[in-house]
Amino acid sequence: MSVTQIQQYDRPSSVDAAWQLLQQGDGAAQLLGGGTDLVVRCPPEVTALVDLSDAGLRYVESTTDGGLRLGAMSTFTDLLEHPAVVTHTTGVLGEMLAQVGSVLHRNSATIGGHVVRSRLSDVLPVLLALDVTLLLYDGTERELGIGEYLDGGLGPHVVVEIRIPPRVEGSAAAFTRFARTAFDHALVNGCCRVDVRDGVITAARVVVGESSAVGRRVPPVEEVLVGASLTPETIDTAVAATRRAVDLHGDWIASAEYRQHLAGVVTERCLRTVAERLPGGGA
Amino acid sequence: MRLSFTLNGGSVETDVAPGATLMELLRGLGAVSVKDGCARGDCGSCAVLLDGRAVTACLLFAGQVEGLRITTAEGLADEVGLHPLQQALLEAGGVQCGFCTPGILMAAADLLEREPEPTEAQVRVGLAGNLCRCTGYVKIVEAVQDAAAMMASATPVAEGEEVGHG
Ligand SMILES: Cc1cc2nc3c(=O)[nH]c(=O)nc-3n(C[C@H](O)[C@H](O)[C@H](O)COP(=O)(O)OP(=O)(O)OC[C@H]3O[C@@H](n4cnc5c(N)ncnc54)[C@H](O)[C@@H]3O)c2cc1C
Repeated sequence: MSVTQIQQYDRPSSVDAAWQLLQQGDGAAQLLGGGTDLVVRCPPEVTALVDLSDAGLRYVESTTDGGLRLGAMSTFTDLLEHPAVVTHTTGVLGEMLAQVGSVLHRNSATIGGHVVRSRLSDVLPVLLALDVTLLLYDGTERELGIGEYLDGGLGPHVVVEIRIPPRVEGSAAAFTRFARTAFDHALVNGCCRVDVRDGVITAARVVVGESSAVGRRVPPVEEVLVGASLTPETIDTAVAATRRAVDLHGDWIASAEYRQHLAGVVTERCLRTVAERLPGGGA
Repeated sequence: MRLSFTLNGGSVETDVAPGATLMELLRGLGAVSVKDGCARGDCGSCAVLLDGRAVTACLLFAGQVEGLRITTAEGLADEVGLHPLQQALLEAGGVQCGFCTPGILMAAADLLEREPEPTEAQVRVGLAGNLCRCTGYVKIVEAVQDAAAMMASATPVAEGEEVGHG
């Protein structure tokens, strides 16, 4: 249905021009990415749309060190069709992107709009596990870690680029989601990454997300993993630590106890897959 | 606001309200194959091809299609006859009430463009965003594979040509 209060629609040809338009009217203007969220959830005070289609933000670039720069207007399909994206860190980005919504939705939804929307997300757990940073523009450019970004409290800004660091040597990652049907939002999802040197985990990222909330790293589980080898016993310890550390909510779809249980299942499945993906098949 | 784009091979220049969705715009222009099902991206019955990729017209603002190429189910058949996907859906019995059919056609057209010989699993993934409440999906999936076979045995379509059965 029409968003009837919209009076103005602009397609600026640069990020700076978009920023100038965004500042007009004190919150009355809103940036437009793919529109999949904004069309149905446009705040009533918004009367002007600033469409980023012509702002030069639809690109995927590989950096010389093996990192990736994803322009904020890249659609999920753009990313799924980019070989360097889908193979990065043992294929975890491709694994996740293929499970986000349907083809119809992936052809429109942008990675920038998704990050800003910051809820009900399969994407954010993976971005958190890969230590992604964001290039923002609010008159000047600045780079911010995804965790800090999700803590909120920022003023108006344009998300310009999502920066994925190069794969750490000896690292593997896996994503999994648990939903009632493939098209439902995940009850619980998660992503684990471990970096291994000489059979010992040197760094770990364990992220658990749930529907309605944004994924969060679970430091007590990461602490369990660092310094250990990724053996079945270590995975069991990590699963128990996950269930102790996370505090998931209950609603009409699933009780808190069930989600809490699933959080352990998600960690277990991710870590088992990670073990298989590590060079040499893990410990 | 003024908007220009290509609809089923013809140029369109029109005025549209800045907050209008693509679905409203297209239906207003007579492309009533674009069905208003859920209006929130869940059912896929408003799917159209935007520069060759299937998208839900209900979740796009009209302004997003400036300068782009849109194909709706009206643009599939030509004066020679139905598109192989339409023919195959008819022959396989993949149509009952028909409400979901245009959206399924467009999602399947996108799929066959990228994957001319899809497996059953690939068809199911390609149609995952399209709901059918009558037939179930078996006949629809079969029809897409039948259409792929029909298209494979037909004369190759010249590059850059509009989607059509050629
Ligand atoms: C049917 C459906 C199924 C879905 N399924 C899944 C799923 O399975 N898993 C999942 O994780 N998600 C899912 N989603 C959520 C979906 O991924 C998001 O709606 C989408 O990524 C939002 O991106 P967009 O480009 O459409 O954002 P928009 O709707 O364009 O914008 C969203 C917000 O971001 C702002 N914005 C957009 N771009 C920028 C920018 N560059 N800088 C600053 N602000 C910006 C807008 O002002 C707005 O506030 C689903 C959504 C739908 C509609």
